[in-house]
Amino acid sequence: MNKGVNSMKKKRKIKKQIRALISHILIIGIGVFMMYPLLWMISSSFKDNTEIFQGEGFFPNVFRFSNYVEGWAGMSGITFTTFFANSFAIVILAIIGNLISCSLVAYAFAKIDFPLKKIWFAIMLATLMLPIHVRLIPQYIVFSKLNWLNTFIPLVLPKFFATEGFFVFLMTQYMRSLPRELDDAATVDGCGPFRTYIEIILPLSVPAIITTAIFTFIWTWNDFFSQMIYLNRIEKYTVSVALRMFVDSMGNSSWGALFAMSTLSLVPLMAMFIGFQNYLVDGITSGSVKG
Amino acid sequence: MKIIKKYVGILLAVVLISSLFSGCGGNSNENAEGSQDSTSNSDNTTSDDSQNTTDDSDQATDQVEIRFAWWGDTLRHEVYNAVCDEFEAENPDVKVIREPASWGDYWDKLATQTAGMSAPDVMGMHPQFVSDYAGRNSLADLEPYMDNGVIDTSNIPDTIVQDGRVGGTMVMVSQGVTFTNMIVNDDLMKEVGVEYPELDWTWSEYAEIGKEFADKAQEKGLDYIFSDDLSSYSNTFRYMVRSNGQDLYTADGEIGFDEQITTKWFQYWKDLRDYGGVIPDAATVTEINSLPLEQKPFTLGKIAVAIFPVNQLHLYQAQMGDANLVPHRNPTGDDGERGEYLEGAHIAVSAFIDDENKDAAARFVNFFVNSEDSLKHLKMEQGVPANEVLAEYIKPLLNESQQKAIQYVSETMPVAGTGVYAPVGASAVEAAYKDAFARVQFGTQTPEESAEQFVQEALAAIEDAKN
Amino acid sequence: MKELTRKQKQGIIGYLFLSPWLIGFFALTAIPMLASLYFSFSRYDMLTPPRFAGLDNYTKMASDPKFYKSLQVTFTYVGLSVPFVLVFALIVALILQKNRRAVGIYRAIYYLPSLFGGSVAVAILWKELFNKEGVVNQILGNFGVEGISWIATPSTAIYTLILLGIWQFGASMVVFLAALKQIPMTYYEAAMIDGAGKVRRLFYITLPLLTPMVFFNVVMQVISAFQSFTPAYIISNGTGAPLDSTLFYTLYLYLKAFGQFQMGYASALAWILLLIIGAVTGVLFITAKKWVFYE
Repeated sequence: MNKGVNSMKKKRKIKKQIRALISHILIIGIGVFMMYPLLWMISSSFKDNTEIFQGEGFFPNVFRFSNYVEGWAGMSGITFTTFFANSFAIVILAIIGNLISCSLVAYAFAKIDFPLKKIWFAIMLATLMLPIHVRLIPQYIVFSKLNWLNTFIPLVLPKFFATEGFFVFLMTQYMRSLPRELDDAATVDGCGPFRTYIEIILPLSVPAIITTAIFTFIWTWNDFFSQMIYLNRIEKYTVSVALRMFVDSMGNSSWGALFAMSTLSLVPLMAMFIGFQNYLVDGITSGSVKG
Repeated sequence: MKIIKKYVGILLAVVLISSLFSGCGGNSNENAEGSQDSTSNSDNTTSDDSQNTTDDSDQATDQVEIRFAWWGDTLRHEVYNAVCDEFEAENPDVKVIREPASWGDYWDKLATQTAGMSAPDVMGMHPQFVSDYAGRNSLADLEPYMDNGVIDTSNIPDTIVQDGRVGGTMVMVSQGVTFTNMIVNDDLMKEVGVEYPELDWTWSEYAEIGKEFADKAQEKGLDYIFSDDLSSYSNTFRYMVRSNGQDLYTADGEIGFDEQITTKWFQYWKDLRDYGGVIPDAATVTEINSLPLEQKPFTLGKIAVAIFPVNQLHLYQAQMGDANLVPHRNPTGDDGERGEYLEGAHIAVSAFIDDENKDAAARFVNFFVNSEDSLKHLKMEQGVPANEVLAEYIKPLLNESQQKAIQYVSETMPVAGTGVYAPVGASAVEAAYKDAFARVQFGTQTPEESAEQFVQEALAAIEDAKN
Repeated sequence: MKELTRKQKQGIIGYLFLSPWLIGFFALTAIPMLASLYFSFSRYDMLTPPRFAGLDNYTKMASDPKFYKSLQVTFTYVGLSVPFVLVFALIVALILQKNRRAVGIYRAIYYLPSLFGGSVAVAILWKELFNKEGVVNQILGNFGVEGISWIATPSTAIYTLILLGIWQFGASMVVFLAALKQIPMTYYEAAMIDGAGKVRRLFYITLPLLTPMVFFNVVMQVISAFQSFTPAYIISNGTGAPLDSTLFYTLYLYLKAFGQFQMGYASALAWILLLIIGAVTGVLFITAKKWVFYE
């Protein structure tokens, strides 16, 4: 009898190991698929321009850093130091703006009842559905009349007014999933809505907040069209605008420099994501609902 | 924990409010190079305020700021910057704000800026788009400046000067003359063992040579193709049409070609396509059209004849080592009639700026086109300089392939005519052409059907734009 | 002074919290939206002021073959990429959520493609993979299969773009991860005590509690897929080639606006798109009542 049970246990163990092995292979396999293009780009950033497209191998024949040096020097005397600084400035302001405004507005939609709420919510969603190229010209004209062209204002100010419906929607959904009893408990304790917002809902919405911060960072960092339209002078250019200058369909393109700088521009994004990701992982379960 | 959160909230609010205020003027602090005022008062919208806006910036006396926008790659940005620097050195009362972009972005930006009444003072302009801008009065009339000598045209051949006249108004000045013509990889031709005439050939000869090439290459087991599929290029279509006595557009803005010739054109390329080995198949052609210079089959030595603006020859040569690249005329009609017309980038001035800026802009244009200090940097960047004296001046500064190009252009200029500028609505015609040749390439329509549809669409586009 | 009713108080407070959005909406969004609506009823080439033209743009649209083609391309893209993205995102999030060694690295790796966004580098890479001489064909060649140019053949080009969209599932995955983290362990513990196995826990606890975020992801993915622009723009070199097989709706809109100076028509296209997305989203919201579970 014991022998039977033992062999069953063994079988299950082996099955478990096989399954673990398969899923490991799967994950690694998919991981390679995910990474391959990036690896290609990084390896190309060390190659000479001609070698990138005409070369045979994946790895460069000679590792050269010249692309990085050349690329960093930027153009017209403005180096990537400036471009990175500009990008960071815009991104940080955008994050602050989004976090404050979107959470305030989401709290309203999620937890408070007020007249016409559904209509405003629908309109807010509708703003997401209008393609950007069409809003662009009228917005541009407005900012032009206000003399705010070639500044960061058109890129940052809207964020302080919850114009990114995506994050409002995200936070709304998230806050809605927090139980009503919390609010009620807080009210019983004598908290006004603002205190409830600050001391209870916000802390519990940290995952949504972190997600908002991460995505704001990434999307703003990568958003080149608005940045290109509003920033005229090269001193104000951001990384994503500068990167596009490396490729010109009518002439020569500096591929090596492009890949080198693209790789570098990914670094803050990755750092941001990895850094905050750990926060996500550790989780807020300690301060959470049922605790 | 709660107290911390409270203070964080207050802190955030403080940061928010203060950054709102600093946004109205202090954002330039973010720049490492911040010397400019962030409120861009230098944008020239209406006619009054360019005088007083320079107060808060760094300039001393009555310095005028003009904005110069151009398209190009990183090398060109360096070149143009050098030219701007030279100009500023010689004209300390003018400051040139540089606004470079790559070709695609440039036109999006220019359209947006023009819509928002904030176009740059001086801008690169191209025959492809000039009708849209000139036809809508966005470009300044430069004739007064030519008449009073601010823009010196004494050394520029009249045909080239008149080339800047669109719809009767002189709106732009040539940055350089070039042609989009064939370049033959002589080494490849020799390797396959095909003879070809120097400099000139007819369309029939071209097809014959192509077929001979395909046959011989196959015999020798060489994996080469003779030429690009030129039906993909509307300006080659234009060459062909011109070499048969027509043109894309007539002088009064109508379509200048007919269905018959379009059908002939598509049929010509269909025959070559069906023959095999002469031109690439449809999918490959689509790929090629989106490849960068370095990756094109011609650059990789797989195709013997390509077509591109001859001032780019040195770029290709740089990628192809010491391959012998020979500029060659586009095929002529069977009776020898030519299709060449002057091409090249131009430079224009915005119509929306006040007179002070216009004057400065005109001086800049003149410097750009007419001075040694400018040309020693520019050299052949956009083609052979319009100014004949300076064209001679730069010759010793050129490398071998640039010299080839300049020689080709000089030889061809006398036989080139002036192209009629497209009327408003040409961009829709371009789009219709792109669809038309693709349909034939992929075989979804016969040449006749495609030509018919194309001509209909082209006529509709021109009609539509008239309203 | 009469005391405000609770409801009125709520209303005022609600609007106070809503105020940033309200201000922003009226100042920064409503005006452009109304302007673009006006443009849609006019001829506007951006270089000269708009001229009123009534329903011209809309009637033109009804008989424009490219309009229908772009709709077809876009619906294909939405219909195929959204389900795949969500399924991948959910599965991978579930797998990664369990504490494993180096799970952080995997999370980052899977998210990496989304970081590329609309960069030029991605487009080059994708072309490198899928063109005639590309890596995919090289790999296929090892199995004796001769590949075609996936990216330049009309019948297959759109699928390379769908694949590109799926490759970027990381964004949805992050949202799911955040939500998964928030599900309290106590639920699982209680279930395990009751004897529920892995599968049951998945279907009776995890998925139901995830539904608000699933819904969120569905709506956002649909909206963003309808508006997808950059991949198609860069890979087809801004043309929708070959043969318009990659002519996304927004790409067509962009070409009309900036390429052919027909901003009026483009604005009309934009509003039609808004109506379409609105309708689809409306349907999603209505059906949501059936399956989304709020506590």
